[in-house]
Amino acid sequence: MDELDLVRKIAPDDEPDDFVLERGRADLASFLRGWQQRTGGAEPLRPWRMTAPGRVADQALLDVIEHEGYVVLEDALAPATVESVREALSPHLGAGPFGRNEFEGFHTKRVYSLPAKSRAFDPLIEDESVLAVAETMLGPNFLLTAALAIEIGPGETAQGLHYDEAFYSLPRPRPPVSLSTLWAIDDFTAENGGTLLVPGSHRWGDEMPSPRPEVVPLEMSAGSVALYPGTLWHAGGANVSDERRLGVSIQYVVSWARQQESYLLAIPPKAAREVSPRLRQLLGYSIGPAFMGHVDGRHPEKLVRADR
Amino acid sequence: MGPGSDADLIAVSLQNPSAFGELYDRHAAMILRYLVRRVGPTAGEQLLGDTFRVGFERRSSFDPAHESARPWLYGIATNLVRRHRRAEDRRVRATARLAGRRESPAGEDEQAIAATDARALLPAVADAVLALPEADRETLLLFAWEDLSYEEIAVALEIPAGTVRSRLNRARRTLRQLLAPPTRSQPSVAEIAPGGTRDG
Repeated sequence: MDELDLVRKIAPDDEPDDFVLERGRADLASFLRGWQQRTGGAEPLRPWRMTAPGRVADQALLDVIEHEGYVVLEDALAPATVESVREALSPHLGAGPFGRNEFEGFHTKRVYSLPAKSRAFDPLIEDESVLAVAETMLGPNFLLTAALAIEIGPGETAQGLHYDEAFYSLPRPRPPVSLSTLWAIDDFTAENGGTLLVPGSHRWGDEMPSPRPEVVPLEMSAGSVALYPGTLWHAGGANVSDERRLGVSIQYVVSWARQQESYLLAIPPKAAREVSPRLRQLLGYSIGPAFMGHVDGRHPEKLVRADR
Repeated sequence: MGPGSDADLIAVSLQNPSAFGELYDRHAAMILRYLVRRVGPTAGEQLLGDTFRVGFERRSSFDPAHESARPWLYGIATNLVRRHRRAEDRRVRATARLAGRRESPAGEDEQAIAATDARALLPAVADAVLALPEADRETLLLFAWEDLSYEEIAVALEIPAGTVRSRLNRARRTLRQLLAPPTRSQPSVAEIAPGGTRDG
């Protein structure tokens, strides 16, 4: 008897249950019918992994987001940029506390308000490919609404499924009011907490995910970025690996919605002078049509300049 | 590739989703048995549905050069099992305990003694298998339990056949120490557990 025989001896030898098989067949048939009704039988566009297209939002890229609910741009960051992001985060992550509740995760560290902490994150926030998609999806004068780092530690459990803009109480289905991006600073794998996405769920109305929805773990190499509308259901994955997984979430919102992070307080006019004009607009030193965001009747940019 | 191969069926299902149901009829029993072996009947039934739904969603990525969808489905099922570590631990340990308690064959000849010795080892075998790095354990179980060939495992796990070979060798080497302990006492799991090695 060799070691393989021993391994075979610990295999449970139950025969497949015919009743379970029949029930599974009926479930699948119903799923396939539902899929046909939902999509009209159209085949989703492939590939959903693309290379970063540059300044203009590539129509194919927008189509993939529309069909699948997400897209991954591979190699969107140079390795040196990935490393500078990691370095900029390291003092905050080293000192920072773990999450305060199950949603934040008791084995997960978050660093909020990134543009107030270092300029190392600007290339991510101002990425041309991402901003082009955001502009098409959200319209002109869109804003930054959240910029945080998330480090999921070993032993972290999966987050509850949610969509990022659920707190804007607008009935669904509807076009998104926000765009979320998730930058991989470490490789994302199914084991280390790669985000679980529910493909197509951005089109859902009032549907809630079933107890076991069809999820796709977001697997991508460091330097890649995933884009998905704020209407897509997803959850941080469980980290069953023995390593931490670092990602940066940057989210944008239409010009008329309240931002999650109060950037005008985090980066007051004096500090705002040190950042690029584009980033200032995104932070909220800008006017949404027709005069949302004015300060005493004036453009906030004038306040920044006056503060010299 | 003859008509009616899995690859044909998947191609048809791109336009006509219900054709994917036929793939279930061909492979579901085998995939269910595998899932139940690894995570038990409750999680196994859930994952059976998930396997075919995920397969359907990803059917356009199926490589039509492979006539059979069997390894591909095993690959999807294996990925899904990864999120059920606790169920797997319970399942494998319980089976090993039961198998270890089964009645000994009569007689005191060499064969009967060897069989009894082997049964006594089973809980330790279970511990050792569960302590293997995930990639090695998956490879070992697809080979030993499911009789997949190196090539089929390579397709299932999307790795080169050489990696299948090296994972299997490493797993078997670890387990072999159970069979040839220096004394008659069993090695503890700590002694035989691998040092957390992983494929690069």
